[in-house]
Parts: sequence; C-alpha cells; structure tokens
Amino acid sequence: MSPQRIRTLKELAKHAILLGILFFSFVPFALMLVISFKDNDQFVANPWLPDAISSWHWENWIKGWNTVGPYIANSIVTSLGAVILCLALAIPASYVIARYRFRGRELVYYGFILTMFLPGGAAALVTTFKMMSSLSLVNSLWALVILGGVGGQISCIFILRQFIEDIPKELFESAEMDGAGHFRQMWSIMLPLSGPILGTLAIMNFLGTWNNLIMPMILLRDDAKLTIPVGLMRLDGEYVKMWGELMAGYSIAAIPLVVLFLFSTRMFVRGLTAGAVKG
Amino acid sequence: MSEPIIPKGGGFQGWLTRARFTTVLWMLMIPAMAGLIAFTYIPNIESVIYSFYKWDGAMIEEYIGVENFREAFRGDPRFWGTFLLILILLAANLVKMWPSIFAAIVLHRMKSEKSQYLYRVMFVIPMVIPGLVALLLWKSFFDANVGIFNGFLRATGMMDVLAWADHAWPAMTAFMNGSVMHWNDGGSMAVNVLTLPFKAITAFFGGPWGLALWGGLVLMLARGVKPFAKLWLLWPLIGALAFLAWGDGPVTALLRGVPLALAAWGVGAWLRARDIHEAPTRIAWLGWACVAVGVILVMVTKVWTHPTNAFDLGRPAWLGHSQLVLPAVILWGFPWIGTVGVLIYLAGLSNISQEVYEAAELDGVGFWGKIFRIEVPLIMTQVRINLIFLTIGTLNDYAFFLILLGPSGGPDGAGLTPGLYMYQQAFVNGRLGYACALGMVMFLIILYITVFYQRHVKVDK
Amino acid sequence: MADIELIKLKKVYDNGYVAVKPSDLKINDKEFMVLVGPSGCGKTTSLRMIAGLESISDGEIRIGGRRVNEVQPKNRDIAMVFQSYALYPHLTVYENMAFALRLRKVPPREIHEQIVQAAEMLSLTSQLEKLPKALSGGQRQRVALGRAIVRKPQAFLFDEPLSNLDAKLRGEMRYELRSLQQRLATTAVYVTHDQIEAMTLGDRITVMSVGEIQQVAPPRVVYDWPFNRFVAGFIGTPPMNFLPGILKDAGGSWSAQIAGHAVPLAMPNRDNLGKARDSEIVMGIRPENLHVAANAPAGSPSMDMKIDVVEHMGDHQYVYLRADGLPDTIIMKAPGAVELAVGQVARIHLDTTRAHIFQGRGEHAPNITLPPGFPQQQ
Repeated sequence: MSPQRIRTLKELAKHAILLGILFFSFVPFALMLVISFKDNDQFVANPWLPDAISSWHWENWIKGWNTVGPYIANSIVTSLGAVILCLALAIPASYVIARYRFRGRELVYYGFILTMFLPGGAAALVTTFKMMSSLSLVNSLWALVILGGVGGQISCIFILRQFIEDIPKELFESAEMDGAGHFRQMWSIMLPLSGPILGTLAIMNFLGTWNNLIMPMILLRDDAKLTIPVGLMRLDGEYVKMWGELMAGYSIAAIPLVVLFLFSTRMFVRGLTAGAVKG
Repeated sequence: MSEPIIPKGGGFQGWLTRARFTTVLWMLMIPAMAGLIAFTYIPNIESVIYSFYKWDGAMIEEYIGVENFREAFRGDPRFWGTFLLILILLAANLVKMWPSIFAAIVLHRMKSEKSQYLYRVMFVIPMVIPGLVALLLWKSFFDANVGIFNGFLRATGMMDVLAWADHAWPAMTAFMNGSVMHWNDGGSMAVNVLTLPFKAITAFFGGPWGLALWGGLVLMLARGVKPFAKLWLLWPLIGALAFLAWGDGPVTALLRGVPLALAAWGVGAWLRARDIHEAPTRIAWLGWACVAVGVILVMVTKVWTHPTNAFDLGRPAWLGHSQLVLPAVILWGFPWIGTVGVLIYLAGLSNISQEVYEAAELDGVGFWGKIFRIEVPLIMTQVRINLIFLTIGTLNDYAFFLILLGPSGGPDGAGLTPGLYMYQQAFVNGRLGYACALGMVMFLIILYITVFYQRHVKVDK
Repeated sequence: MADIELIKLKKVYDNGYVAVKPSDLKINDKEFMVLVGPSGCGKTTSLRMIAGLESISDGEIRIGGRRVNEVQPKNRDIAMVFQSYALYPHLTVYENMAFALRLRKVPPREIHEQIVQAAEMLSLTSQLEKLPKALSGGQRQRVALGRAIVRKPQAFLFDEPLSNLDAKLRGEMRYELRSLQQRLATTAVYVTHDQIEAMTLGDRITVMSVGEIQQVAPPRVVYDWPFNRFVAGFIGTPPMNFLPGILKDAGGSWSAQIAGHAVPLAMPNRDNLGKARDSEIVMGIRPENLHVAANAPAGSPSMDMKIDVVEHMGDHQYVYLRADGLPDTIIMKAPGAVELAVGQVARIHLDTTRAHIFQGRGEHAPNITLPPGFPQQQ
C-alpha cells in the first residue's frame, strides 16, 4: 500500500471512531424524537424505529406543549433575567479587578473565588429559602433571577478577569487618553475584545438557570410560575405514563436551547475553546 | 498587569482626586459584592451558625453547642456509609474520564481543520440539551417494563448472559469479600482456579481495599521515607482508609498495616538498589497498578454481592433494586463524553506542534506510544484540574440522585450520597440544624482535599 | 500648542523603588524633545507621568502653564503613540482614527475631513477600511501616528514608537516623523533607548540615567560637550573610548599618565583641571580622534597598539586595538583607504585637542574640560 493510501485509511479510522462516539451520544435524543410520535402500543411494539408517517401521533406534541408550554415563558424570563443581572454585575467588577491595582483588590477577588468552596450544598438551601422568605421573594420568579445572576457572576468574574488582563493595557490607556471614561472603556474596548467569551459565559449562565430544578422546586408555589424543569418532573411523576407525550414534552423543553445554539454556534464554539485554554 | 494610575501626593487637591478615583472604582464593584454577600455569604454563614442549633425551620430553635457534630462523628454510621458510594463513584468517574481524553486525541489528530471544527460543533450540541431532559430520558430508558435498555439487552441476548452471571458473579465475589477463606471450598475446579488470585489478595492484603491502599503505600513509601514525610497531609487519609480496610480496631489495622507498609518500602528499596534510572517509573507503575486493580475489585465486589434474581424474567428494574442501582448509575450517560472536558483537553493538546508528531514518527513511536508518551503527559495539567472539580463535584452532588431516586436514595438507600443524606435530614426528617452540621463536616473534607490538591497535585499554568 | 514643564518631578513605586529622582525639565512650545537613556533610566515613567497614566509621587507637571497633576489623562489634551501602537484590533483604520474625535463629540463631517487629511499626509488613504491585522508594521505605525494627529493635541508623546520595526523601515519612519512634526509644529516628547534616533530626531535631547537627568541640550552640543562620562559613553557609535589614568601637572602643561605613557593634553578648556591634579581621571576620546601615525614624534600624544579586529565599512573602517596596561579594547575610526593588517602593531596618535577629562573613575564622573559656566541644561 502506498503511504498515501495508509494516510487516507488513518483519517477514515479517525472519522469512524468519532462518528461512533457521536452516534452513541445522539442515540438518546434521536430516540426521544422517534418515540415522541408514538402511542404506548406502538412504543412497546417497536421502540427503536419510526413508524409510517401516516400513523404518527402528532397530538402527542400538542399535549406535550400543553403540559410544558406554559412554563417556557417563565423559564425564558428567569434565564434571561439571570444572564442580564450576571453580566451587569460581573462586567464592571472584573473590569476593575483586572485593570487596577488598589488596596483590597486581592481581598475582593478571593472573596468571589472562595465561594466556590463554601460549605453550601443542601444545608444552604434552607438558609437561602429563609433569606428569600424574609425578603418575601418566595413564589416569585425574581428570586430565581437573583440567585441565578448572583451565583453565575462568580465564574464570570473568574474567567473574565483573565481575559481582560490579556488585553494589552495600552489599548485601555490609549482609549483613556482619547477621552474615554470607565463605561466607555468597557463598552468600546473590553466588550468587543472579549466578545466570544462573553457570549459563551452568557449562554452557560442561561443554561445553568434553565436547568436549575431544586431552587424553583423549593421556592415556587403557584402552578403559573413554575419553570420547565419542574414541569418536566410533573410529567415524569404521572402514574400512567404516556411515553409519546412525555418524550414530546422533553423535546419541547430542549428545543429553545438548541435553537439558541444554532444561532450562536460559531461564537459559542470559539468562546468555549478560548475559555478552555484558560482553564 | 495594570499599574495604578491613582494620583498620589499633591496635598488636599491630590487627596480629593485620589478619593474620587477610588470611590468610582469601588462603586463599580459594589453591586457585584453586595449580591455576593447577601445571597451567597449570608446563607452560608447562617448555615454554619445553625449547625450549633437544634432547628426544624419553624418552631424549635435551640442552641445545643457541638451536639450535632458529636452525633455526626459518633452516632451516624449511615452518614459515613455514604462515603463508600462516593469512593465507588469516584473510581467509576476516573474510568469515565477516558473516553473524553480519547475523543480529544482523535479529534486533535484529525488532519483537516474543517472536519475538526465540524466535530467540535457536534460535541457541543449535547451540552445545550437541558441536563434534566437527558436525565429523565435515561431514567425512562432504565424503566423495568418498557425501558429501552432492557429491550436492548433482550434483543442482543445479553439478558441471558446477565441472568447467568447473576448467580455466577456473586458466588465469585463472595471469595473476594473474604466471606469464604478456605483454599478449597468444595466448589468446582474451575471456580477454585479462577478465584485463586482473589483469595490470595484477600489473604495478603485483607481484601481489595487493602490492595488499593497498598498500592498507595508503594507510591509514597517506596521512594524512601523522606518523600513520605513530605506527604504528611495524606497521613490522616491513609489512617482512615487503613481503618476502613484492615479491620475494626486500631490494633487489627496496625497488625495488617505495618507489615504491608514495610513491604512497600522494601519493594522500593530493592528496586532502587537494582536500577537507578528506571526505579521511579517502575515504582509508579506498580503502585498505580495495585491501586487500579484494587479499586476495580472493590467496585466489582461491592456492586453485585448477592444474586438479584431480577434477570430471569428479562425485566430487571434497574433503579428499583438495591443491587442494580449502582451499575445503572455507572453506566449512566454512556459513552461518557463531557463536552467541556473534550474542549479542555483539546486546548491542552493544541500545544503539541505538528513537528513533535513528525519527530516522534521518525523516532519510531507507534500509535499507543504517541498517546502515552506525548499526548497524555501533555494534558496532565488539564486532567488534574478536571480531577479536582470531579472530586468536589462528586462529593457535593445530590440533585442527580434526588431526581433519580427521590430523597430516600432509592431501594435500601443504595444511592445515598452525603449531599443527599443532608437533604434527607433537612427536608424529610426536618433536622435542619443537623443538616447544617453535616454541611460543615463536608466543607472540612472538601477543604482538606482542596488543600491536598493544591500542595501535592501540582497544576502549573 | 504648549510647553511642558516638569518641576521637581519624582516617582516612587509602591515597593519603594525610586524610578525618577526629583527632576526639572522645560520642554518648549513646538519643540521636539527626545528622552534617551538605557532601560530602567526612568524615561518611560516620566513620559507616562506626563500622559497621566502613571501617578506622580511628588513635584508638578505643567502643560501650557497649567498644573495637570490632578487632571485626568483625557483632559490633558495630549496624544500618545505607544510602542505596541495600541490600535483597537476590532476597529478599522478609519474608526481607529475617529475614536477619540467621536468621544469629543466632533461633528461627523469634521471627523471625516480630519481623517482624510491625515490619511493623505501618511499615505494611508487606500487602507482606511482595513482592520489593523491586515496592515504591515510600518502601516500600523502610521495609523498610530494618524490617530494622534487627528486629535490636534497640545503635544505628542511617543513611547519608543519605532522599536518594533526593522532597520530599514525605522530609517524611513524617522525621516517621516521629523518632517511631520516640523509641518504640524506641535510640541513632541519622544522616548527612546536608541541614541541614533535621539540624535537625528531631537531639537534637544535629554539624556537620563538611573532616574536622573544627566544633560539636556541640542544633539550637537551633547555630542561635543558631554556633561559627564555617562553622557559621553551613551551618545555616539561606536562609543567614546575611555582611558583611565592619573592627571599630572608639569608646570602649566597638563598631561595624563596612561598605561605608562605620558599623554600631553591639548584641549581648549583646561582651567578646571587643577582640582584633579595628581588624582585618578579618565580620558575620553572618540574613535574619529584617533589616527594612525607611523612616525609621530616622541613628545606627541601617541601610543603603540596592536590591531585586534578590523571592520571594514566601505569609506571608513573600525579598528579594534589593544594596548598593554589598558583594560578595554580601543576603537579607532580610520579612512577606508588605509591598509591595516590584523596582528600588526601600529603607532596611534591621540588627538587630545578633542579629548575630555572626567574627574574620578565613576560611571557618572563629571567632565572637567567643559567651557566655563557650561550649563547642564540648555
């Protein structure tokens, strides 16, 4: 065999390995979509492959939507709110910490970082709940926005600081001499230059709040205020399971994020890669 | 690094400028700090305070000093029992780490930039699917009657294999657990031969835990006493593990531990005397091999100790049987690709230039050689970072098991992690103060691990 | 347009390191002033203090007569060109130049005019829509200049702007910078460690060392009348030769005892030599003031030296010489036509009418052969 052939074969082997891994990664989600069009009988008879289109149960999606749909708006509002709050808090703070040396700078920074190691866990759930009820934020989406934003800012500050420090300080100084104030420097220098990582942090924070189950479960009372994860838990907890509807509900819960991803693939992948370099 | 541009000197005028400048800086940070203090620090500090209280969240609130801690340390075997699960999960996670590394390596070796990017996108997609959806999806796969997993097992004939193993395996693990100590217990010849190594391990090391622990001792002691002395942070851990592995009293532990420690030291001394250059590598290999084999045996023997009789009908309830919860959890998320992990490893690999590969090729380094001599050493930094987060994450996690098995931790509490136990104490038993105290204990353990990692698992950025 | 005054300006870093010792300096309106010195001499720190990017530990800076210690950089109305150019990588050339003007709320039409004008001046007209990363080093440098020009500031500050360019480009940019500054007639402060840049660009140059100003004068004056040994050694390539010796007074005719030779001194200003009589001195003599003189008379200032290395430059050559009793190699600049063989011992004539005597052996030993009343700053 010529070396050329061997090289081609090697490349093919790599593709085969990766496709194999990806196949197993995607099988669950493919099955989710397949099953979402079946009724229970079809599911038991043939759980793997789609049936003929004529026998697809589109109404599963309607029922799924009826169960999950009302919660989507809540989830979007809380997740967006948390992202906005998180960035609004983290951007100025990391700008100051990264750009200036002043007394107390390290103290402030480690004050943020230390929270990653706090005892927390389930015990802090209680005290957090207590705090929220004393602010009469129980059963309010605001509580989730605040917790999502405040909790998310820590990793944001941690990563943003490193990125801002890598921006040549001459750029800031130059802008300063050109007459830019703090906010102007953030807006015109820092934000454009940390674009992908900022977007990635935003998406990660969005995902974090979107996926959060425990807090909404503890804090929310009204059915009208529940978020998607709580809604999914309800679907899952039903006694007689309608698998098709269940899977349709899961699909609906996943779709907004996949759409979000499709719109930001380039930036997200680039930002994640850049973030990975920083550790 | 920015220099301060805060003006100095200049009398009152200068002071005023300076004050105005610093004030602006602090104003920019105050919102973030206020949020942090109000919603992160205060609840956490409060939980520390309540760890000294008997508190049910509503009526009873009574200061009881260190009573909660005394109970945690003296009278709560269930709490400490949950750490066994953590150790098994950690060991499993160590194995589950490799597919990501492997995928990153293959991805990195891909010649075409374009397809590399395409695969990177593909690997990111699972990340944006809500974790809960994936979790519930897998949960439904494990359903006893209509679950896809059982369907898969039946379709491939694996169910019959499992049904057979259901009786054969526990019979085998019984030897390893030391419940049968005779060299010949009257079983078939094949079983006797097969179990001989396990019997030997049990006889020499006091079971698989002992083997793993001995591996650790080899790693630390075999290089001499000095390196061991430097690892003083590890001593309490070794003591605790020795206690766990080698008996129920300090005397038993010492009786077994001291000879084994001497043996570890002796092996090292012998190796070092024989060859000078290769000794550290060989010691490392021997140590890690013992740890790995021990851990695998522990997993095997702890996971499936008694016949479940669940496979005969072909419908095992994976999440409903105390013996099957762990295998299901370990299998969870196959093929165990972590998006962030792959990208982090890929970032580490990108430091390897094409020239290094070409040089390696000229030197005759083969496929595995490239992996273990070039690629894995180069991403060790990333692996270590991942290890830290993995450990802390495994210790702290409770949401996964809560969603999966409910607050009781499934049948017989087979899926009870320390975090979930805390949750149970707080929200099921209404012992909030005690839960806070357990949280404190967890914090100390995590602090210990963090300090240890900081000191001994060097992460050079 | 304004003059810049440093009054007892001092910089102490938080760790106690004194970067700039109290210094006075007056930079005149429309003047091109070059701060030159080795790295760590405090020149960049001084420049950054003028810009307002570094805090002032003590003393005062006045721009156009106004104290600016408490004035924010943006309000000092000065433009700075950084060593790394500090172009905003995400903005086009046009937007880079427009940035400062936009912040100043200059009407868009005016901005456009300014930029077109500056671009023409810098031959950047065809590059305006490109991003910095698409430009060559020289073009980036020009954009950085253009960004400063369009602001029409009171003064330009340059922080080693040419050091990232290759030698050829550096020569071209030097010329452009000079002609640009003459056309714009704006005060400029230019920091460099390259003494050729200092000599060619500056109306006056300020030589700094270890945080102190050593001499301020036009380039010619600094070259001909170095205030101390440091200035003498720093300005000029190849550097001035330093020959340690003892100053002798033989009844009104001065000589230096160097490596066993009595070298008679013939420089014009010998009135101050008395204070170093019979003590250690260093004689400084530039390479072009050494000559091969095969049959120099016995009483003339000359020494036998062995030719070590010859560097032929075409019309002239640098000859590295060694002499017994002298610690350092001596460099001579000889006409290219002279035939010199390596290893040969030659008689070298020292033109002591152009030599300098530095009192003592210190690195900053003062020149005691300056004209009477010669000021350190002129």
